[in-house]
Amino acid sequence: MSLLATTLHLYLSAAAVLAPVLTAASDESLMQAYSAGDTRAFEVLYTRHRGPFWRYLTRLIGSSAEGEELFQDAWQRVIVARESYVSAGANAEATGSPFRAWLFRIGHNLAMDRLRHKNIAPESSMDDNVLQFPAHSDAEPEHMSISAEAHQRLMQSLAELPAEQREVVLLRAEGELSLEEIGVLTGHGRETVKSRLRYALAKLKQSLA
Amino acid sequence: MDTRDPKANASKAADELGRHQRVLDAYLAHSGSDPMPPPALDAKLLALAARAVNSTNTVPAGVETNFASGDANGFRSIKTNARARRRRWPFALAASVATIGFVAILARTNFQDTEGYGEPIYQASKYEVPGAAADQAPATAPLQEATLDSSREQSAAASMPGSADKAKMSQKRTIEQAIGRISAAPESPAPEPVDPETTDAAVARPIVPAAASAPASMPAEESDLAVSKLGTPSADLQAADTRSRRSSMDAAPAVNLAAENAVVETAEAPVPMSKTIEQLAAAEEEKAASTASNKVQASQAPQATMRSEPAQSGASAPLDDATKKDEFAPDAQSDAANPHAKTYTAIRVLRDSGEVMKAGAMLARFQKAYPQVQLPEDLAALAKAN
Repeated sequence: MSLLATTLHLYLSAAAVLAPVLTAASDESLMQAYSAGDTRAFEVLYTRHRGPFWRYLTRLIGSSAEGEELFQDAWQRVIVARESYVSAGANAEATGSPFRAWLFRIGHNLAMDRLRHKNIAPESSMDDNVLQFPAHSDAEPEHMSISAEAHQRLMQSLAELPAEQREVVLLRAEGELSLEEIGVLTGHGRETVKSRLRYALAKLKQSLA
Repeated sequence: MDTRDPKANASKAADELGRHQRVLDAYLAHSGSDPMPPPALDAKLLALAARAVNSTNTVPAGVETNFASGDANGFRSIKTNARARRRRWPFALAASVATIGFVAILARTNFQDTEGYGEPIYQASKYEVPGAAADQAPATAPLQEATLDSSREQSAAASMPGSADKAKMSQKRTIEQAIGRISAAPESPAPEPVDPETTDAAVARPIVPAAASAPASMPAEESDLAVSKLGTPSADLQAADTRSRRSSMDAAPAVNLAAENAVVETAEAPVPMSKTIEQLAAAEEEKAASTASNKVQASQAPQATMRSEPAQSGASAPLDDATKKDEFAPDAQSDAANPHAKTYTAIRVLRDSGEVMKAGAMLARFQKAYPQVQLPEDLAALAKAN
């Protein structure tokens, strides 16, 4: 009985100590831990990137249903390719190929395949699930109405952007990627990415004015 | 931008980046961070990740999974199902349209039947026997009434909106009522049982001409006599014909009419050649027999005359002479004093009418037949002139 209590105490202590460690760990170390069999590391990694990656896909495609499919496909590829990522990117941080850029590259490829398969341009309008505004319980009603209106205009302007400019904005805002990373991901030069980003942000600024 | 001043260029770039960053901050502030994947999707992905790393790992508590096998195929099936749901609606729409069209065509067909544009389901005239309408009038009357009632009910039912089923039910009920009326109607007089022999004889009577067939009002004996005069191939056929006529005249008018039609139709049939030859042969035999009997009677008559007048004709007078003498022989009504007065008058009539040659020839035959007779003066002068 005392042995069992001692074991449980040690387990709880280790979990309490390891949880902040995992939360503060980098994406690459978490991916290595997951590849070694630690599912908790994947949960931390998933929780860290699920929101931005979800918004990137849904707002790039313009449909929450198709964005959901792409989201599932991308994470499935991450799960399947965990060992190859670890072996090829052992020094990912040193080579400038972090996990975030790898994840968004998977999403970008899936989105382009989907758009190419459908042979249509990205949606110029977003459905209600994409346009939904976050509800803050502590916000005042007047402020919420103004923010909702600004959010509506911003999302509409984002949907009306060309696909290349929209993707650059999303990769910059949601993925927090640098211009070089965006250039590598999209296959264009840095200046091209920068020019697209400038035009896109100018249009979005007009919508917010 | 002035490229010769690196500090100024860096400052402008920083200002531009700052403006962009402010826009991005505004974007992030307005877009917020709440739009997140559904919790169910998070649970599925986490469960998939756990099972992919170690199959012995258990699914976290509270996580609902739809994975049957626990591998990536389960996840694929969920995605495939979601995709199939979106792609299923065109087929569902096509199936709905096809179903509605089929029902519309079915309803249109039934509506035509009840309105009378299509072929009615029941027609009493189809089941009536041709030519027997008069005899079966009591039996067909309920059917006609049923038809009229059915049409009235159908028109009344069709005038009501959406009452195709009601019209069908009323039609079915009307037919059942008609069947009940038929069963309850008084039975018509049963036709006389037809003798197969009689029927066969009436049909197989081919040699009676239509013009020579006896009228319906003629007594049976006369009709039989008329038929016998024309000649029938056999006595059995004649008897069968007689029975057929009697039975047809005693039967109902419709049946009698049918028998008469049968007689006319069979009389116009071509006559068999063998029977015609037999009839001709029989007629020739009868004619030859009657001619022979006449010759025998004629041969006996001159002999009696010669016996009564042995002095006028010889015993061996030929048969032709006897026949010629018989031409001028006095009959019982002739005058005894002048037995040839009629002959003389006939010769005088011929002479006076201008036919002197005929009168002379007749006179010559008379003188040849009766050479000892003393002619009157005028006829003697005519004989001399010839």
